[in-house]
Amino acid sequence: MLEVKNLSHVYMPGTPFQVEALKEISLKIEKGEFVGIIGETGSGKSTLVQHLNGLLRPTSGDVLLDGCSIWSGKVNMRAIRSRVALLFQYPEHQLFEETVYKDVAFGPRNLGLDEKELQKRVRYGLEQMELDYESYKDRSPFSLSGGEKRRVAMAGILAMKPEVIILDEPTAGLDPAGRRQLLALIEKLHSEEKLTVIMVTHNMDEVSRLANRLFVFSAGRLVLQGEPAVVFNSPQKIKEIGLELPVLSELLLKLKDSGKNIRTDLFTVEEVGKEILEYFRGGRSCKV
Amino acid sequence: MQSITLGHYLPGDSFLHNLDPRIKLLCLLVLIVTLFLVRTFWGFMFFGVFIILIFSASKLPWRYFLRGLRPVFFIIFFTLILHFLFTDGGRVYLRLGPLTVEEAGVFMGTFMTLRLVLLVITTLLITLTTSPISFADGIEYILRPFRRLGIPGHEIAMMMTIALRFIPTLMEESDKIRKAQMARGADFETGNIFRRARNLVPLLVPLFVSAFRRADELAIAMEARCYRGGENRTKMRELHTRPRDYLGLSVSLGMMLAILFSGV
Amino acid sequence: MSNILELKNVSFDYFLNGETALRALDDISLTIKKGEYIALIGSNGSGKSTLARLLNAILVPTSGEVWVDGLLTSREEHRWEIRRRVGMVFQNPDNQIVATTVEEDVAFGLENLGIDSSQISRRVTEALERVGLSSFRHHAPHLLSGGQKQRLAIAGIIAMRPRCLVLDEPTAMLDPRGRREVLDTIQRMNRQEGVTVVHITHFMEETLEADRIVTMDRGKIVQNGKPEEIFNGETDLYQLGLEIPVLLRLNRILRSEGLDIPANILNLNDLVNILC
Repeated sequence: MLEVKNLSHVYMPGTPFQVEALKEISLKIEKGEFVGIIGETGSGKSTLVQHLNGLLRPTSGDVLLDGCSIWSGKVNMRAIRSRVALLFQYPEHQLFEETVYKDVAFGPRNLGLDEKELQKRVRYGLEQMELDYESYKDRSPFSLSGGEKRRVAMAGILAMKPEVIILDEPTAGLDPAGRRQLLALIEKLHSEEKLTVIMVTHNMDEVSRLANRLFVFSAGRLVLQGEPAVVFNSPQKIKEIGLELPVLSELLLKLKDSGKNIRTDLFTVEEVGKEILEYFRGGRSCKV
Repeated sequence: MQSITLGHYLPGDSFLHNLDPRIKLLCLLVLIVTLFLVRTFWGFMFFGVFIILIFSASKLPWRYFLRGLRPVFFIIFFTLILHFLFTDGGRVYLRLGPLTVEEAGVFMGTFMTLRLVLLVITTLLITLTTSPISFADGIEYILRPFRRLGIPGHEIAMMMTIALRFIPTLMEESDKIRKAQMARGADFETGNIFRRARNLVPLLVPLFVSAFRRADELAIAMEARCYRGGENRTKMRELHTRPRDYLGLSVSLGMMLAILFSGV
Repeated sequence: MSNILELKNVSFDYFLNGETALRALDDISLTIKKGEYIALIGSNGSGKSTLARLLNAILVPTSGEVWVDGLLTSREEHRWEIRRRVGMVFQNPDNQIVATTVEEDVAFGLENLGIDSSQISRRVTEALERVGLSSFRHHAPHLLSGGQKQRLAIAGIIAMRPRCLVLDEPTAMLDPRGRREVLDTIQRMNRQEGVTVVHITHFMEETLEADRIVTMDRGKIVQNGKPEEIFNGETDLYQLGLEIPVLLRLNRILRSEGLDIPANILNLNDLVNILC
């Protein structure tokens, strides 16, 4: 559904500050996927996602949505941004209205919807984020707790009824409970609302568990892609570009290195526990 | 945003960089007065040679320097054109419909332009070689005698420093918020001026909220680091005038006197 | 070992229009010894940050006493000495940097203390060395990475030669590399220089190196013990809005199924060794 073709991006071309942020990137994201984008700070992840909804214009190359170039001029940029919604890091910093209702309605209002539809959209957005419509709609977004603000900001994106949501470090700065809750909500958006999710993150443990495919960036290039099991099966490469493995992968790989015949493509505590127990119980330890 | 190079400090190690900021501010004042004392083109030539010498002593890359001039280029050009067209007197060089370019206009235009260019260059030489912080220091010291008159020199300097410190941070932030709202369908680029102003609300409110939050956190952080105003405060770099500072000041004063008495 | 920080029956109320709006801390008592590394955890709103701010007299308790190295925080004349001895690092790296160059920022605290300029220079050099930022001395702070900014903040504190470092979620806004840099720096300060550390964090993994973990919930201290006691104990951390680090969760599963994993196994290498 989303395709990036030979995309390069240069910041401030022609000045001494010129930086080539992305070099010849090509990738495809299918409908209904949960994609993780990982890489060090400055590797080009953020630059890439800002191309996916037309916030940045490629220096060369193209971005296709359902096969059509978003820069062909035939499509309305607002329509594209409502279909491919992008939530920046610390999205609570974008809140500005007097009430939660008005803030969540900002996006859909820009799409020119009528008041009745707006209300439906706001209700939908808030409910997806498990915020009770009646008790939150009239409150000031600035009076909410950090975690609530974050969910209101996210509701504002969902109220545009996007098909794709791009989340840049959605859990940054939250406490453990807030992190768990938000991730569960995102998982639900993916599994129940059938949204395509693109998540930019530094948290390998989370992304390995949630995403069905990963894109790994380093110095403006796409250096690895595939299922988490495939990507994290190249530990050298991952460490070379300054990233860490998920803790559990690292454990399994170390066990394997010490001669144990053990699977390394598992990412949840339960699966890994089962695998280790099976290994020690099932007598596989003799095989090697 | 890139034109912000105007007066953007460029670290370095030169005679000019190492001058005492108080002295530098005084020199700047003297040189500006000097420029207004100049009466002939010879005077500008003399001053120009002087500035070129200073420039080479500053070790500034000339490209960077010229970029700093770019934002004022329009003003300079405008001055020139205005004088050319509207100052009358002497021979007529060119007729453009009702407008004429006359001798006095060309003379005055060139004269004023040269003065303006030299003024900007001189100021730029000082600002490019003085770190904002020592600039603030210089101002704090210069204002110190006026403390009794209720002029809060330390506070002004501190405010300057903090403003300078946070300008890049807030610019980055405004760019981020602008994009975040654009992702929600906000439009900052079309419509008439009133519409545009109203469309700025989603950008300005978060920016103000954030600036206040930053100010609040910064105040606590400063307090936690024992900040309690200018009383009993010391400076890492105490300002000491050294022989070279007197040399710098004497050269500037010499320049002024030379121009004044030679009548050029 | 003697105590450096002592909280005696401390309560703290936030007031709004003259009325108590929120009891942030409720009758807390806690002692911290010289040289200890304490991790302070709890969900948002549990009172951690308020507690941190009581430790260097940014706030003074509504009731009860906070003693720092023999000085009482509620006494005006002790305030500045307390703030020198207890340095604070905050969450947002940007909002604690005052000056426009790295060295000037490190010097800020020393200038406030009225220290001689020749000495300031020496101490700045030393502090920058200790956090590994010597080569950035003349840089503008906004060009540093998040991790470097936090190390700069730490440098600005340690230049004042504090006895205690209180860090309020110093890694919350950093990427993994920045986090590692900052954690290494904190640990070095603690182990090599004997600086007492109180480290507030939402990342449970970061607490495993601490001597002691203090858990807070709704203004009260609910747990106080070694990492292995906290994470292997009976208290439901999830109920408190916290969680158990991935590896320790795995250990629990393995242990409950009969594998013999000692309670003090906290890191990956130890676990690998036990399993091999």
